Amino acid sequence: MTLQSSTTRSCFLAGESGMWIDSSGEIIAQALAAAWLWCSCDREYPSLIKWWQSLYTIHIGQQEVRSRTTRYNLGIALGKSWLSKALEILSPWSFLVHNFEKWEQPFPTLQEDLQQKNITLIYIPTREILSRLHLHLMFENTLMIWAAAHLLWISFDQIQQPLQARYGKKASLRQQNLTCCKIWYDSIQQPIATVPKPLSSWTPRMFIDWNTALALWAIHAWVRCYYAYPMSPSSSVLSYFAKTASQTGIVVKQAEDEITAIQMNLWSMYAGARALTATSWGGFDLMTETISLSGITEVPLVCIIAQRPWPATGLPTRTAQADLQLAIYAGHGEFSRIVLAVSDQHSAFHLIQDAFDLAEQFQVPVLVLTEKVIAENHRTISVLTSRTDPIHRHLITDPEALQHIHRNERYKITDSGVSPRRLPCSSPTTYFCNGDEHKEDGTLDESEATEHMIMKRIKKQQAILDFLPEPELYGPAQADFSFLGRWSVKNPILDYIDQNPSWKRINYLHLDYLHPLKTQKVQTFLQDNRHVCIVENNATGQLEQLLKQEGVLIEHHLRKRNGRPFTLEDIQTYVDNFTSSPL
Amino acid sequence: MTFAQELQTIAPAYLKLETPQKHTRCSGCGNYGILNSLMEAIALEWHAPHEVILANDVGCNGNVSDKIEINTIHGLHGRVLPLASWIHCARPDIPVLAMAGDGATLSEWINHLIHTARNNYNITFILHNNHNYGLTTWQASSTTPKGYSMNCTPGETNSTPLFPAQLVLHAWGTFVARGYSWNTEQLVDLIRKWMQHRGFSFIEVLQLCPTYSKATSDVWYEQRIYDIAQRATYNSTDKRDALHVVEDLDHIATWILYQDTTALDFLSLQTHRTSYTTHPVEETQRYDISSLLSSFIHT
Repeated sequence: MTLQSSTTRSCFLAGESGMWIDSSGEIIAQALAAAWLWCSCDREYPSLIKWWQSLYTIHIGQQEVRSRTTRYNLGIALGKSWLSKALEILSPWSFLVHNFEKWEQPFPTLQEDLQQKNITLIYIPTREILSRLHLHLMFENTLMIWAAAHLLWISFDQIQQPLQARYGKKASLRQQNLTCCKIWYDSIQQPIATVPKPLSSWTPRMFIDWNTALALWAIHAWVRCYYAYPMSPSSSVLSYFAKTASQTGIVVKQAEDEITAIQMNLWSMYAGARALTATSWGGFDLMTETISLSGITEVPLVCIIAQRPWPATGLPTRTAQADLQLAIYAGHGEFSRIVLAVSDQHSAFHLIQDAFDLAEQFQVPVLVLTEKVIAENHRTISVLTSRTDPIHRHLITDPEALQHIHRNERYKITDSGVSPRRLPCSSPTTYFCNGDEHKEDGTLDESEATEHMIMKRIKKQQAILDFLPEPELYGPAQADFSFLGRWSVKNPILDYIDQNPSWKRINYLHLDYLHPLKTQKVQTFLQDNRHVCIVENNATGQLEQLLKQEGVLIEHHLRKRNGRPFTLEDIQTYVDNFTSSPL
Repeated sequence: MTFAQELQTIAPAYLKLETPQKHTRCSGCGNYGILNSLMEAIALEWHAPHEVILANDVGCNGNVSDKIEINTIHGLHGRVLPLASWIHCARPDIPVLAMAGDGATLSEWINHLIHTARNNYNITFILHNNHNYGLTTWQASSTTPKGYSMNCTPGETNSTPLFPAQLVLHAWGTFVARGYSWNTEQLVDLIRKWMQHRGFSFIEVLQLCPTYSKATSDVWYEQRIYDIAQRATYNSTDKRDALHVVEDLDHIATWILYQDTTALDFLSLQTHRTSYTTHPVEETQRYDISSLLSSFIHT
């Protein structure tokens, strides 16, 4: 009994929230990395607190896996509610592990359905095993998970390490987990199913979630203050900063609300620290007046927005890309800003430092946007350790210059709109940091000459545009079929290119820097390619609209609006439909 | 040295704090008294005034943002407390003062006052309480007494007024004081007292608004205010005593109403930073994350 061999396999752990599905899934994924396989893991769960369908998916491959697929080869159903649903989402010739003793009763047609799809049902009598071991019934799913690990060709040694790391501190829990695990490995000598064969050689890899990766890269990019109000899916950034504070010494504070968090952030930046905050959509709404304040006072600011779908509370635990225009237009008045889009752990590495460098160089608010499916995604990536390029904070630090600086310098009207910045109290020359309209020295001004100051701040947008890099092209310059997108859409598209035998015919243009928007390379891309499709996870095509405003018209679009991320099959289906229809 | 003599010695330092900007407040405004007291206290205490930060809220108080030659900030309405607290947390070596009116503090985001008090950030906050919104022309604030006829309120004011000092006491404030905008001698001393207090210093200044708050005129105040220090039996370390006097509007107590000298301020409670002698601004440099990374690497 073996699974069909292929380069990529997918499995899911399905149960109800509160059944430790995520932590179990993470242990399996870490063991897979220890077994020299790549994987990408996602969570799909409800905002209802407990006892509702919750899914942890693991996509496994011999090469980098970035996205989610809907073709599952192995399912572990931990809750009764999942048995019928699992049959729906499993591919033909797959395996379903369950522990539901009387499964025939509620599903009279189950046997028939199973046969039709050629799904092999593996029943594990968890209650019986546990009573034999004199263990509590809470270990039912534990037993199932170690069974799954065994099915995935993970050795006992490989699963031990992540298990110890997770439960090491709780001795009794660890021991009982190990007992469950060992029983399974002792009782069956050979795994009964295989996934992609582990690679024969392996350079060290990281298995990490985006929120943690982001926190790490931010610490690396000199962040010394982190403030936030918890809000899914950004909360785990705060957790990581808090958890590691004793090691890093970073000032971490759970603020009383988002308004406070962004104020703390802005004014720590004013004082001269690098400070960060992350939030999600409703939380960002509360922050917007401070974005304006950053605009007029020209105090740099970096804020992360983890997008989730729709107005008000919407779908709090699902994904979307519907806040791009919010980020671009948030805050009253007109001023320059930068909006960046993070698509995965790799881009977080570059973009979070860029965000701070750009904020300090141009003295503007920088909004770093991500989305739920990126924020909570755990993935194997190649090891990224440190950026070696120097950080330029664009501050006046020369003691001689600081001694003699003129007070008009701070908001001096220059060609680029950027004025020399010095930290408060660093010079005997004081300055007024005024949220009211002001002159070059910061003194209040309501004359008609204020136009020059307003235009100085707006002018920076052109300087930023000139400075930002062009979008990145994946694949050949010319192809039969082309995609354009940002954020998480990059992941299924790149996976599709990698896995498609005819990949040379497909290319993808990815936008990391969304505002101000560079369009020259997009224009060239449109001229060079016959069929360009813009892929967006929102209802109205927000990026498409922005490109249209810049005079860039894109003929085809693919949109998703159900709170779920694009999968490999969404891209596959779109291409298949297109290629099967006459041109 | 008498107060007058002391002033004489600081005159050059005081004059350096003046800016050429035109003052734009009404005649007789209590803000003149507050600004003068602030400048005197700064001249007396800080010989390098460019190493002091004054944060202002929006309202009549905010107009001083270019009228005193130190580093000033004019932020958003109601947000001055997190603003000032977190400049302090990033640069704890620099004294940070904050000012806001009763509208900003008690209506716009009362949350900030409560959390700043309970976190005991080491800053000074001067609440300008003139019992109305002056800048927007005579609307009721949360401290306006009942029965007043105001712009924007049909009939008369009928909501129960808040007592800011009482609120701060209940929110675990560690230094609660009250001054009067025309008693500058006492105000200067109160602001200087903050230097000796480690934590959140809350100074409510009963401020004259001759244009709008006519009912609480200088005559009205002078008939009622007294210095609590003159009451020999008053114990400013006893919160019950303080709670008792703050509500009395017939006999208005000024000076330090309550002080807890034993409480630790926010930064002293950050146990994970006790070994640090530097502040976050000094620490802003490349941090080696290799030991953090190691737990995510699979060889």
